[in-house]
Amino acid sequence: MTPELLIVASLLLPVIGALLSLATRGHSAPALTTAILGFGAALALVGHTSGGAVTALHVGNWPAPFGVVLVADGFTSLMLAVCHLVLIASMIFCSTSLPIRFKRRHLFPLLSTLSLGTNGAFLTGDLFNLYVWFEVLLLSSFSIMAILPGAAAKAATWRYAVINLVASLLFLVAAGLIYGKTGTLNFADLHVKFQSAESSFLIESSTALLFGAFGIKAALIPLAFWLPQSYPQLPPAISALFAALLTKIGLYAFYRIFGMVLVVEGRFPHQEILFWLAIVTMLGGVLGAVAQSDMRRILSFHIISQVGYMALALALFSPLAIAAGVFYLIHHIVVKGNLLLVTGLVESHRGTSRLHDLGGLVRSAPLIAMLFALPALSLAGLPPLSGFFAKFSLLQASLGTQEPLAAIAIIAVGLLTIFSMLKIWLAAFWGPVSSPADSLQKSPPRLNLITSAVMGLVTLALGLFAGPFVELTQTAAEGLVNPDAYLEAVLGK
Amino acid sequence: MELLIALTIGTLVAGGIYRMLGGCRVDMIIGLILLSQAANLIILASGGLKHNAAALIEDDVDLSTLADPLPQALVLTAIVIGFGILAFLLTLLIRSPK
Amino acid sequence: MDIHFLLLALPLLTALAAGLFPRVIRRFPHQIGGGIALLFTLAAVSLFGAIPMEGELLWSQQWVPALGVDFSFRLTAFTAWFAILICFLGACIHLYACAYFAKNERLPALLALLGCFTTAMLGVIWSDNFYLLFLFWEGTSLISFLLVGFHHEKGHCRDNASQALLITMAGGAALLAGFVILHQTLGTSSISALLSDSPASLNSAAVILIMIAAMTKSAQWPFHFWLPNAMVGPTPVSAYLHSATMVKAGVFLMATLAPVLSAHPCWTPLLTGAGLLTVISAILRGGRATDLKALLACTTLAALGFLSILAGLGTPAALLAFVIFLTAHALYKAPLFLAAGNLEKRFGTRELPKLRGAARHLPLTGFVVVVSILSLIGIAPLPGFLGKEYLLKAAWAFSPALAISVALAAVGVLALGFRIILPLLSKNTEELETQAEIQLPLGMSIATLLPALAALLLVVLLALPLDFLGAAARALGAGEAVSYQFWHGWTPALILGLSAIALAYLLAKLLMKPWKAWTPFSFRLNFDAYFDALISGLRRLANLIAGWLEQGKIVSHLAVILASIGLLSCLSLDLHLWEKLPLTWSGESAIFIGLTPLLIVSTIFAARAQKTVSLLVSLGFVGLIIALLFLWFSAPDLALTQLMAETLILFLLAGALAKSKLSEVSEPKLFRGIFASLAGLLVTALILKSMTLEWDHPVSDFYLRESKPAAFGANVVNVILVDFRALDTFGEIIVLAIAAMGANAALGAARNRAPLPEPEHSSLLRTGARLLSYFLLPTIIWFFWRGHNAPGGGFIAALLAAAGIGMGLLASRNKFTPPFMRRTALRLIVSGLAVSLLATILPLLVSRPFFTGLWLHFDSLHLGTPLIFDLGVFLTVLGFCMNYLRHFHQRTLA
Repeated sequence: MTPELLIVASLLLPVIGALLSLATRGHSAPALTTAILGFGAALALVGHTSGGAVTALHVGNWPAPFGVVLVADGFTSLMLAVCHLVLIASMIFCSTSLPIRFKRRHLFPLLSTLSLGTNGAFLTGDLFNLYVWFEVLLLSSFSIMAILPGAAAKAATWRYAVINLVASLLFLVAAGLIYGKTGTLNFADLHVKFQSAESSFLIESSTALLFGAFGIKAALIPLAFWLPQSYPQLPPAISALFAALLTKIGLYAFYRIFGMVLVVEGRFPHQEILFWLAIVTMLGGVLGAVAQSDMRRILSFHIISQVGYMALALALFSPLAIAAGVFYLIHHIVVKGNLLLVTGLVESHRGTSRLHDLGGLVRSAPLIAMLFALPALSLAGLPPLSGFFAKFSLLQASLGTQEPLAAIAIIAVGLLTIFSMLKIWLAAFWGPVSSPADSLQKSPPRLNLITSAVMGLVTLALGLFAGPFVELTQTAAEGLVNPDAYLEAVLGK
Repeated sequence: MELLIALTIGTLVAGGIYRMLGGCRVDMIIGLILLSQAANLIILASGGLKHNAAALIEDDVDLSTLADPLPQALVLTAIVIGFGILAFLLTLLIRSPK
Repeated sequence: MDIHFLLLALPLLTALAAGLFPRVIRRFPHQIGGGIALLFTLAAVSLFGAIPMEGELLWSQQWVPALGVDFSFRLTAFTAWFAILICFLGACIHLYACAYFAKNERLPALLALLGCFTTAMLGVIWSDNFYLLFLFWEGTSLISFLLVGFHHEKGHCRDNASQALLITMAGGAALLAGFVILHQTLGTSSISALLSDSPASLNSAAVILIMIAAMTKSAQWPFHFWLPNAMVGPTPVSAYLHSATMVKAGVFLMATLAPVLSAHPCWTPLLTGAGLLTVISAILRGGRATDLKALLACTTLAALGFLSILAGLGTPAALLAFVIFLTAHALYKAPLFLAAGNLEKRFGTRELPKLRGAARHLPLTGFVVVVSILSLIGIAPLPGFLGKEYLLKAAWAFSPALAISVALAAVGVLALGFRIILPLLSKNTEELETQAEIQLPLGMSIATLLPALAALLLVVLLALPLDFLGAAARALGAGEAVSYQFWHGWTPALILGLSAIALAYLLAKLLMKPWKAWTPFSFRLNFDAYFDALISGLRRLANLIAGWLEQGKIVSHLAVILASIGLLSCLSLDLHLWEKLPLTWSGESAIFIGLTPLLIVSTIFAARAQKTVSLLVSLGFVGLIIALLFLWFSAPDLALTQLMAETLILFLLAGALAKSKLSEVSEPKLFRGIFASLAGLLVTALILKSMTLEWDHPVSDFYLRESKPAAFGANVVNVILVDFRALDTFGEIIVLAIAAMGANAALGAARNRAPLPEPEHSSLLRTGARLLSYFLLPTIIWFFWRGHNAPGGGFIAALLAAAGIGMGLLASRNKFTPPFMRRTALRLIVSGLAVSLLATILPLLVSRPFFTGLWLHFDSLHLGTPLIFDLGVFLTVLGFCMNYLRHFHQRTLA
């Protein structure tokens, strides 16, 4: 398969999956099959781009910047691959552990369209097209949340929808303004135009809107209000996917647009503000997590805190920092997804994720304890797991760019992360077995245990084989910092 | 013309935000409707406004006098997407009593 | 590669085996314990034969070269000797644990943890790479957490274990930061390279961070409080943690780096100061303790303080003293802990007052205690004597004042030793309650005896000219000259040591009887309480922040979000651009001038309307005027679409509002008004600013130029939608399909209401509707067909068709039953998406890129895949509209 065909496959497979699943009254098999095929395609793309090669597909055979262009570079391919991994895991959990009312008709087609939205957003090389894919994935996520019963879930869905729609409008306006000022929407073309612009500050106000839009999606404090209420309402099988994809799309957009398109002379607009917001987000998110007493909630707040790390990597904006950020993104998608899946395991075992009602899991379900420990330690940044290399390379980058404040934040927030993970461990896994009625304790589906174990092994493998993997992320980061290959592939110059 | 259109859009935005902060769900939907109207106008305006120059190609037309068709296409897509999303929001509204 | 590096994996393998075969272990605990002990002892012996007396053995494998992380190990005389201690004591601990927990079903878990822990500790001392060392360092912290909290059902075990974890992990974080700074300033992440290069200047932050790390790990003041609390772990675990592992990792790091880092002015004063304070606080704490294990923990603290002083001095003599002291301490502390475990098992208590004369009842344990305490006190020729001797010698060489203060501190520590031994040897055994039935397992006795015997054997080995401790000291960087001997005259060190013993004995005797009187003044600094206060303060802050992020009305959250973004755009608004504003007033027509105030007024009405009807009317006006503006500004397609979409939205809104009320109570109007006006002003300014820029738009020129010749369409907007940027449109119809699915998901797909009775409409309406629908069909086709060349297209046609269906709903509800609507809507959406998908894939079959238009030309008629794509758009949009009509029409028309 040529890389062009792989790009087409990544985009069309979820559409086919959604259509087939819709036509078969919401059957999981077509969605799962196309997700697995999509994973294969994404891995093949990773192989194609590992040497720094960039493939551009000019949709409709119209040359850039006139048509929409789909581009697969190292960064995109890595994101595609890792998102598919979580998608598959989430689909498996959905099909085995969700009550039937969730699964009827709509869930699997919507999961497929969610994946379509993310794939499109990763692949596109066009600002307005990115907006369209954002809407696809956003509306899919609304619709999935709309399946949830209960007043709290409905209120959370509403809040989530309204705040995210504000973000969409901001993005739309920003895209329009940027077109009005530059006459183009193509990433590569925009980048070239900004280089030659006599005063790049002219775009600062429209990029402020863009910053707001992406900041809401990525859940930077003070724009993150939609997240802590909505994610805990979701069953872990689904929140694993949301946690892995939604905020990361916002971050991806930050990296792609601010970290590549808008860069002029080694800086991008609002870089200092991103730096400070990142640190506030890191601290605020982890402190929010410390205050919670439900596994779902603790993990949801951690997402915010981790988003701060990834935003910090971008704000530091050195090749090493960007590579660290890309590594962090990949690591976090796998690990956070897995942690929520393990919460799902705990829930199928005990029927709750509230810390007060849990206890002694290490005795009653040692396997789940191990499956939790692996991603939890990785998130906390312990070697030799993926999280260590993510935090460690970010630490190196922050000290390398003479930002001791960033280094202090990285370390302090890391400790607080350990503290909040410790809270889960002490209350849920250690201690006396809470419910005396052991008959209530069920063993989770075996397939789910295997899925979670595979995700855990991926975390371990990302750490143990960090050498080649760091090289991959460095290639990806190099592609952002120095986008010559990208420009050449898209514009053909 | 520019000042007038900018003021109009500003009013739409102000009205939308005023309505959106009203507190109940209907207010938010109406606010979003107004805001998306404003967004559509902004996109159209940012591409440059021309009167009587629809981008319909006829044999003897001077292409440089025609209005920029791309913002129009973008707005059209945005209208449709906004339409879908608002319709969905309305279902969220009617399913819950509050 | 030296074969002995493989030793690292040995404990890991035993751990793995323990994890894999728990049943075997539960069945034969004693045999397994003996086997593991034998294995470890053999490893220690073989390593003893392989101590590299000079230089170092290195083995390195790349791991993450880009980050300076390598899989590299380093074996010197010192690290080999340390590893021998770890392996040998590990053997004893494994043996002991298997006997101690023979009947506990969690023995396999304990063995697995102990194995991993041993590997982690060996890794710490053998790593040559900074970050590899950090890996193992964190490993020891983590596993010791699991070991200390082994009895996690008890609340205080959990608390103390997590306290230890948090403090050591904080230290670990400092270590990592220190290492990164060292790595970046010196350009190497290899310990051997760092030691051989001896860099001229050192980064202060790095040195201090590394010191802090080592101090937390080795429980130096002010981080000392976790170690006595960690006593809640099982006895074999305490024995291991205190003798050769965990806490020794900190002093190991200090000693290893001392030759280089002691050049920094902070190093010596900070470490010796912290060491002395640790010793003092240990003595004060030990003075109050009556629990045997707690007392032993305090002597460990004191020993760590002395070791830290030695590492702080960093002189050749100090390093030699360090090696000897470390060895002696490991070999007397492990048996003491194990003996304490024996006593507890036998007599059911660890309280010293209740254990009077206990040693006499358990002769073997008693022997071990006596030998070990004598070594602790420093009676010749036991290793402890040599350790203390060289400690004082090194301190004296540095400064006599330091030596005297060390000796004074030693008095306290030795007194603690007497406090342990005197009651145990007491002849007065009345208070001892013997639990006669309990027989100590053989494994426990042997495991207790072995290290004491090893201490005696060490005396013999030291007397022989093997000089391995000298080699170890030289490997630490002590230079060529150092060596040790038992007797070298009446040195000040010897005199100080002897007088310390005498004083300590007197002190212990004097203060023996009233136990409480040992602490004439209470030690006022309660670090446990500070730690707890820190944690609870953190919790309070966390609750505050979580409340802010989590609770609160959506309106205030929206306001915060909008205000933040508004602020950000204000910051980037450049006012100089105002001068360039093209404020042209010429050529404005009355229509335009009239439209805008109308729009403003109706917007204000829409924003304030509180009644459903006025709201719908004013919103309709807004939509209509915007459609007219679109028409005015040369966008007929937009105008049509806007009109259609607005009508449908109002229809749905009317349905939605039929039952839900507008809010009675609303947010304060003044604030909202000011906020909204500011936002409106900001947007106005932004738009004006964007109009100051004039760029040429080559993209549009291309569209205008190529639309007809290359894409065969005269309506450029439509050509962009179905050809140039068809991917956007593809995404757009998918959004509509999702919105339809979402509505079904939200409202329940299976809600098949029974058809309502036929409405009592006049037959005129019904006939009119039917007639209209005959007109409608050709109109729809006409709009669809002309779209490529004139305003129209799939979307507009579909909305027209939807209007027709709405009409049909009015006219005949029998035909348009809810199940019919649902089925048809779904089929239309699926087929519409499939058709447009087909249009995108067709080009691939003839090896053209995705979405490329394929055309058939019949004279002036052009048929192509973009038209098929537009058909797909038509079907999907129609399906979407039907789906929503089905949900809303009953409410709207009711």
